[in-house]
Amino acid sequence: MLSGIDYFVVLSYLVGIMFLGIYFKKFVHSSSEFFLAGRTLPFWAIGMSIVVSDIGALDFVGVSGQAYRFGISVGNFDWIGSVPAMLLAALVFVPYFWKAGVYTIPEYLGRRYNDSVRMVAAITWIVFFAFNLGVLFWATAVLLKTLMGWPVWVSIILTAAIVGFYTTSGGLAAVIMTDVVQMIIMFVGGFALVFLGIHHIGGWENLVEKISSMGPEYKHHFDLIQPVDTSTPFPWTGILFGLTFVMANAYMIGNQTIVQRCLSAKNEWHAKMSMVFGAFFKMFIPFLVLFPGLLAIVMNPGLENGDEAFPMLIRTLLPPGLSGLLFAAFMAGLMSSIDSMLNSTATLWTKDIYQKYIKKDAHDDHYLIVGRVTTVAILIFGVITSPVSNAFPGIYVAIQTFLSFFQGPVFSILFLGIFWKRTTPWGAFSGLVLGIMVSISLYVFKAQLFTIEDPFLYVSWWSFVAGFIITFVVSLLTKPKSDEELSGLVYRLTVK
Amino acid sequence: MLNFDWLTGISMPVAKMIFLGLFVFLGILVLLIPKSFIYEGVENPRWFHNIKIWAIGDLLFIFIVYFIF
Repeated sequence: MLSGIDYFVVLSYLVGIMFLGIYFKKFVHSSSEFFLAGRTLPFWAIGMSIVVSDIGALDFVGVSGQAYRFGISVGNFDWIGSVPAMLLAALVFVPYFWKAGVYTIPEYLGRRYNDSVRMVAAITWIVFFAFNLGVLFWATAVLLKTLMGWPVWVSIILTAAIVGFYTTSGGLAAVIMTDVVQMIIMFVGGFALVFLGIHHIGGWENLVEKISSMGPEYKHHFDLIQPVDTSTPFPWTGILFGLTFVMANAYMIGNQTIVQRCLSAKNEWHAKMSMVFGAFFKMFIPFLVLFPGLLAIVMNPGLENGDEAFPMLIRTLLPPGLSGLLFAAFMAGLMSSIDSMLNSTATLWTKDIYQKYIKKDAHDDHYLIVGRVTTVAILIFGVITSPVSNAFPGIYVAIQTFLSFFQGPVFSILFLGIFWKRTTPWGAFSGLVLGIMVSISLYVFKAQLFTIEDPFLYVSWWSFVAGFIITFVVSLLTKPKSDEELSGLVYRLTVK
Repeated sequence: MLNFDWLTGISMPVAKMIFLGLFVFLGILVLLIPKSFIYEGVENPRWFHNIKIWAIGDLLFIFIVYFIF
């Protein structure tokens, strides 16, 4: 249970975040200012926001739980599973997206291919974000119940109310600037926990020695690279092919919540630099989310559910005040992820569906209102559907499973779209739709097709390969767009 | 096939070299990027605007992590 000073810290954080949201409300007068902060933001704010959006409550609970079971190999997601992809995004894809002046990735796909591709991509992302919100809400509720005994629905509704308030008020500018504050709190709180934990155990060497001596199942806990026949979900082949080559790129290049931030940069250099700057901070994330799981192995051995490792550690390790700070850090992680999804879903719905198909030439004020109403609607949907995630065995793996359905196919058409001007609209549409169907089939028949516990990395890779081949073959059989139509949308293709 | 069984023969040290080699390869690609592209959007370029420096720094950090673990 938290003490009085802990409650004070948490309350100060929540009130501060709400005031920040109110402050940024005065800068929002148009849909561009709501969805893209008027394209005025600096690289450092965007970079920090990208990092904190990508790490949330889910990571604190889920990754530490995975580290408890499988060791540091789960850190691959924030190292090789992020940094190369962020550099590729910064130096190849983001400049084209930014120069195109688009609001969303589906909008880029619409210009590069056609409206069908745009619509499929937009609807896919909207559905994913909507259900992802529920998973995030449930993760919070699990922690709050363990930590404070709060009823699940009280936690969910309280979080939803606060995030909904500042996201609806201040739009993307409020989301990004609150993210900056949230990242600082997360880093301070997270590092405090890790530092105290390592000190409590007697140093890093002691931690390694104790875990290594706990039995054969802990033999590979300090190996980042796991063998192909590992019992963990992270064989090196899956990490290299599925994560590094597909999922990471799909996430950093094709994910609306990430790319939308770069699109709000004040110029092209800031857009590029935001990713490079974010990659630097990203490399510290495993220390915050992975080490608590390792510490818990020594301090709380024998936990049945690895997801309980992180909250147990807070309860047993942190003094009053710091518990509140870490609790605030956890809330920050959760809120930063939720606000990103809310704003991005509202952008996707308003720009790619509503403005395109429902009401085309309305006044800009109308789209601003639609954006705000959508934010609230999607928030309510997330709250209602949150118990769905309870049906999956591990919170983090559940999210990766959702992602793996369409990350591969989306990245295949983005990759070919940028690098091969011969890629046609029909090719991309076929690759996207059939690629998603391949993903789902692979997942449905995973017990017959794969040997590891949860093959989401392999599903990503093979669905990417399927999407790539289908797009390539169909493109060769159908008519491409002209160079004039593709100018500025394809790598090094500018027609003057 | 789907489980990459055909790569089971590769030892862990070789797998590690593949990972480290990837970072070196990316570093070389970063160094090959033209200066004009790097500074696009900057009015008065200074050394700290050189995105290559920061990108190489990121790659160096991650190289060290994978070299150690």
